[in-house]
Amino acid sequence: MIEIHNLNLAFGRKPVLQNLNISFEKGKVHGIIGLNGAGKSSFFNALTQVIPPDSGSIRFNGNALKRGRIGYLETNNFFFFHLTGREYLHIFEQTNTAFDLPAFEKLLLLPLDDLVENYSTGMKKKLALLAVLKQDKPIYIFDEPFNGLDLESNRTLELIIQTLQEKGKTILLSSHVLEPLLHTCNQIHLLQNGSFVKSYEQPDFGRIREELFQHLEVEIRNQLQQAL
Amino acid sequence: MKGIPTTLLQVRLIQLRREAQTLGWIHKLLFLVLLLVFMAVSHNVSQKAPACWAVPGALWVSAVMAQLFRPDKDFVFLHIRKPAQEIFLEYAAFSLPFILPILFSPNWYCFPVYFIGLWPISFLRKSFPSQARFVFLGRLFPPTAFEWISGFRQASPVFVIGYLTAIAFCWVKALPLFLLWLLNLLFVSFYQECEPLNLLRAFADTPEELLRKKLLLHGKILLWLNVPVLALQAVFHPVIGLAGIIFLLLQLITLAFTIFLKYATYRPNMVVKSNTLLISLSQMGVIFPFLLPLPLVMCFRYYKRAKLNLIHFLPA
Repeated sequence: MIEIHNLNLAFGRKPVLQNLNISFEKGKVHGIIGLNGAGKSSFFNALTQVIPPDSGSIRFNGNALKRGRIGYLETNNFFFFHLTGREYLHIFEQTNTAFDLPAFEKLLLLPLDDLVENYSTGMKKKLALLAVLKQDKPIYIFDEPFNGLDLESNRTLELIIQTLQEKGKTILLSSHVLEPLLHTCNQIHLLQNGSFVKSYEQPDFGRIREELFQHLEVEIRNQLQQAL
Repeated sequence: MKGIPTTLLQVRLIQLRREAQTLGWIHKLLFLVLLLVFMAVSHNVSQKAPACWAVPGALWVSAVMAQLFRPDKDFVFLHIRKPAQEIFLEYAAFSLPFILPILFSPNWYCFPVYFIGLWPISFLRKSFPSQARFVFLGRLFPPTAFEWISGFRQASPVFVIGYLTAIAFCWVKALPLFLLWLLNLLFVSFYQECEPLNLLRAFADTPEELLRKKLLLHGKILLWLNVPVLALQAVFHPVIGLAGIIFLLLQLITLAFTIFLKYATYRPNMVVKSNTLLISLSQMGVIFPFLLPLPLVMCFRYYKRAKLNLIHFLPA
């Protein structure tokens, strides 16, 4: 169980996360949704302590959560462009003994002997994902993992997430598109103005779109009628 | 200035101002002194032929290299009006402080000849396609030396030409040392890019461990590249042997400083170009005796800063 109590983070005077409280059950897939600027990436950055929170506690199984226990796939993946994909992956020590690189190479259709410079956005995402999967961690955080992936890779990623869950991993993922989260998550949490305002269990997923977008849709339609 | 294509110059001016803001007044003063020293050296060298061609020649080769490898070339030719003129003015402005003193020497004619030679360079649109050159580097170096593998591939033509020239001219006194110094300037530029967080965390758990590992691994590569040339030079000129050892020590100190500076300013996924000025300054310490203590002092200063900064990012 990941337990977060009274987490606060501000950039200068602007609060980004405010008294954020939430628990993530172990061995489940948790989706994080929210509008742009709601604080999703900041929340992940605070969790991985890329940006240390100003106050609050983050505990995993009763102890303070250590950074080394998290496998983190960031939204934007940065590479040394003149390395090949294979060289990039070799940098990471393989702690996940089951990780089979040739199998993934075929599955994800990655030209690992090409320079990363020549990779498409989706290929870079897949390469970064492989680096994360190579390491055995109890917690995986995937920030916008579906960005730039084609339909087939999208489905493959959904299946990868399911397999990780079957192995008892706790997974947190965010997406701007709701559908992949509906397919993969056990719980979806709504982040608004820096705190979690609602959590949905799997049977309630059908209500998310209705609750989130119904009033927005009317508003947007009215505005569009005037603007277009 | 109306009608004169100065877009690129204005961009460079903004970049220079931004970099200058990161420097203290001591560093600014040192730069001014260095610039004056370079101008004096240029004026001195230009007094006699054929040595007068050394500065224009070196500047011309630098301009060719810059033009061949500049990453914004396609953008400039596609989106900026009068791209060749823009590029010509850019190179002319940057080389002016070094070439101007020649105008006031008996061999003043080098000055217009240099600019005539510079003109066609600005029309060069040839780029080298990115391929997995030097695939063996991945086997030669451990994967954790990713800065070097990537850097070598990116700058391979310059490195190969420079290194082979240094070996071929080992019999010429001090020339290989100068070429190695230029190549080492290239090597320290490999440290501009900050690796992503997962890469940093894959390397070590604590700041001390990371800095130690980097220093040992990269120091070994530096020695491996410098020692053969210096040894050959010592065979032909035993007097230079001792200078070679001092040179090597200073290069190692500069490398250490470069690594510490990178991690003192490390932010995941950032390109820290503002460090270039400080690194260049520390490299000057290798050739200008009055700057000798500088890399060492900066080394100690930035080791502490690197450790403090890395605490935020490493797992332990």
